Amino acid sequence: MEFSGTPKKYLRIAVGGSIALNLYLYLGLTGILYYGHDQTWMLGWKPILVASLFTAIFARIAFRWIMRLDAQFGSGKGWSLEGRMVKLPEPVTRK
Amino acid sequence: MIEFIREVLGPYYLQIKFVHVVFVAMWVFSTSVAYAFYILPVFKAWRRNPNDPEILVARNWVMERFDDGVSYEHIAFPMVLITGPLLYILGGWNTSMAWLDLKLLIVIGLFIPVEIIDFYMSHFGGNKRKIRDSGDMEKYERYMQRHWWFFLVTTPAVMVYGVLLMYLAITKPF
Repeated sequence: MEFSGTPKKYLRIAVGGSIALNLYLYLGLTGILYYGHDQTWMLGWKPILVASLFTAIFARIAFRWIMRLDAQFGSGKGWSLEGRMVKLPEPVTRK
Repeated sequence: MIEFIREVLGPYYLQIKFVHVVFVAMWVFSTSVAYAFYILPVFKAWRRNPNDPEILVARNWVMERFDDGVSYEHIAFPMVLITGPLLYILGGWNTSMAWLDLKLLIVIGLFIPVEIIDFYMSHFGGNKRKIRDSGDMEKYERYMQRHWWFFLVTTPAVMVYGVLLMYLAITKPF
């Protein structure tokens, strides 16, 4: 069974996930402060700019991170594969 | 009920905070070595050599061990969820503090769903050892890959927003 992850999917997940998560956080916080406490500072340009920049930066970080985790980036030269005969400890199922 | 909790546990706010911080540390760091130095090297080797039978044995073994090893994290998380609201009630906190609102939004919207899936993948229907014992090796491979998908998708968010959570809790910036 081949693993279904591809760079295209990772990009979609990183960008879509970042937008969804940060939009949820921005709207959630704005809603709580606006409807609960009549605070309007979250509607100013600075919080919107910070949220937008963070969304873009996190999308880029997440994409590159996923690519590194999935060995799409990097050569793997830091590790060598060595064949060994081993016995693996397995927990005994209690009956 | 809230008044009763305040009356009975009020004098123990700092002790409850101590328990909360200990379990937060356990929740955050208990799997870090196993994840970084066992899971990742083996899974990267598998992704570079997907059909190598020896790497498949190593991959399956580390993931099954990780399913058990994550138990510490999954004992700590419910404790965090019990002590956190207690601190909220006893400390007289409310939603006018934006840092706390943001922190709770992150916990409720990100970490609770992630941990529910993690509980399922590690201990319940997705537990690899149980699936292997059932003899359904196709399902075993499917869940092994599903768990890798879970790690790929959640790792960046968990790391970045986990640090942000701690930053918000300590500095209370706004």
